[in-house]
Amino acid sequence: MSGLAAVALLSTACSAADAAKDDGSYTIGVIVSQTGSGSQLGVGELQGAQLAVDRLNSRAGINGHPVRLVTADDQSNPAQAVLAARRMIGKVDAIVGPSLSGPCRAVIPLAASAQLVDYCLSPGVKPAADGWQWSASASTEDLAERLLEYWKSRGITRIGLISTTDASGVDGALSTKHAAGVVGVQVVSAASYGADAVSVTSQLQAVSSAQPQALVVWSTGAAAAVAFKGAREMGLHLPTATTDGNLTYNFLRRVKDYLPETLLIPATQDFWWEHSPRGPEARQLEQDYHDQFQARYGTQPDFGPGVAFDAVTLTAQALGEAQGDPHRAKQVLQNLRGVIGVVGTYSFSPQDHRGLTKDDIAIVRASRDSFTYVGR
Amino acid sequence: MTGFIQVVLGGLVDGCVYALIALGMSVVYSISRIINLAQGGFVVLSALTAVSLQQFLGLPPLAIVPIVVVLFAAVLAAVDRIVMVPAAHRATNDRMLLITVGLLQAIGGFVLLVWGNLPYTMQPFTSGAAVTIGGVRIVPQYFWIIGALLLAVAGLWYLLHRTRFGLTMRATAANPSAAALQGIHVGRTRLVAFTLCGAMAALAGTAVIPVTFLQFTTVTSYAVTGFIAAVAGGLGSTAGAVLAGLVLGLLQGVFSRYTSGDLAQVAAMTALIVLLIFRPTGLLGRTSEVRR
Repeated sequence: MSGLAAVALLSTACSAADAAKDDGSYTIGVIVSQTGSGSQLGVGELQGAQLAVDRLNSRAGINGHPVRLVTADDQSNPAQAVLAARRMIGKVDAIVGPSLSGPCRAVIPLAASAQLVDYCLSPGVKPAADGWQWSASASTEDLAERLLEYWKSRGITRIGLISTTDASGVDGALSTKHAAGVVGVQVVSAASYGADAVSVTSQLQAVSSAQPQALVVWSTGAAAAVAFKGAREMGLHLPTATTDGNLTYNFLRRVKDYLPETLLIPATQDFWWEHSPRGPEARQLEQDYHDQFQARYGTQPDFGPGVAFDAVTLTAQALGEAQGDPHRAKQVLQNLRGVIGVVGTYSFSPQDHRGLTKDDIAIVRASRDSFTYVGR
Repeated sequence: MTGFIQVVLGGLVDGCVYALIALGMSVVYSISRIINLAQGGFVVLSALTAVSLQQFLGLPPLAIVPIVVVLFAAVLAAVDRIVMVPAAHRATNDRMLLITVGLLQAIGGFVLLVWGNLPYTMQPFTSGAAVTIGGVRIVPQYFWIIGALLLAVAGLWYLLHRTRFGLTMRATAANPSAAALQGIHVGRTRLVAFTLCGAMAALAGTAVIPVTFLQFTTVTSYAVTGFIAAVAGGLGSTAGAVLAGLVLGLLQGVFSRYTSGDLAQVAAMTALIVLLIFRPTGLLGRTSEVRR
């Protein structure tokens, strides 16, 4: 409840901040899913965005220009995201968000026509080369490849795959199959189920009949929980991996009694920074980020806050270097190289609006209340 | 072969839940001619209420069941009096369907508001390891789910066929206007139907949540599968609702085993359409229901 109160407070405060360009500030519109199915991510993303802005402003902003946020809740709905983006255009210098791939895709035409940078917080979109949209976090292909490389290095070469039939599940299944070909691992069986399914016994039976050595569950939230529980009920004790969308403490608390004995998740730097080979500058940034987040919100950051923290920081930096010109900010942003963020080290190009690589991914093991680094 | 039997068992257990939902819809329809799509929502709402009550009271899950059953029997009785009766005075039965759709959406929103966007589950009614019979693994909760359906069917059969009030219910189901002319209090009969409907929703919700995770998004899927089972069984036919629920669960299980998840969902709808083309009354429905 305290988290909700904090978010409500943030929203009120931030929404009041109109695009006050006359004071030389840079205004970033943040559209996240504070309610609806994506709220598990969106609430944390708003916290991460606010933390980033406060950190920038505590250091005199960008070249002396304060950074402001204007926030909106898209209710996890593409139509609401479009409405929010439309209201922001003309008042903001760039947009960060939305949280989910569907709303992100919906705002692409608006961002392009307004020539505003849109830093989508979902890893599920594939930004067009030289377009106006960016995508946060590591790509699904890189996540899947890193996971299968890790398993292969430990002798696991036959995997079963179960995924949801929604966009992220389909993307995850395709990426896992592609990664299996690249890495030299065999997907011996695959099955899919609806994201709102309450039973996956049949699908798990289909997957386990091929006797895989390990299981990939590419689904998030309740759908993943149903699969974990189903596997336990069937007595299926396979090493299991799932998507980074489940890297949230709320999810862990929900499924703690039904976690597979081994549950691995490919994760970005913010989950294993203490083991990262990145230098002292990155370590200091991670330390500050984690300490400040803990102090402010009373919990450690999980998947949502990190991507928003980086997106706001990078967008503000681009606006600063473009001297507040929203159109030039795109050119600046896509030419940033080696910028250290909490999620990873970003090197963009006109063809790459994600900027992260497999080097920013390692494998963490989910236990009842934490994520522990196990290797790369 | 063992794998196939496991799939059949899983499908039948799912089917028991669909049958319970369809049974509730069917009882209400037979008395009031209202298709209560909100039944799927009440299943999820009762399940999450059970989770919260169990955490709050610290009682064993099995002890929570009668509390939730009584509670939701009362809730559905209240829904009848507060929503359905006033609405039925102004709307046709077709329009009442839209009201139940609105109610379903309202329940989904309420669940999201109170329980948030998180999946919930509950401990099984009884602890203990799964039983393995001939290589087929059966978790103890499966027996409770099957038992819940049997209890509902037996209780309903006894009420309808062995009590005087059951006779009035059957008379009302056959012809509400004629029943009213005979002095039967149709409104009270209808109230009992909604009360039974609430009890069945609670039985389904509390029985199934220990084997799965439920959240606000599940309300629609339960509403749709329950509706398919109720229509396929023959609206108003209690035996048909049970049979269709079990067949639907079985078909979904088998299709999910051998085809993709998308195809399994489409297959269930296709099976319903094909059934209704060749047998508009559903599996065990009466011709008069179709003509009405």
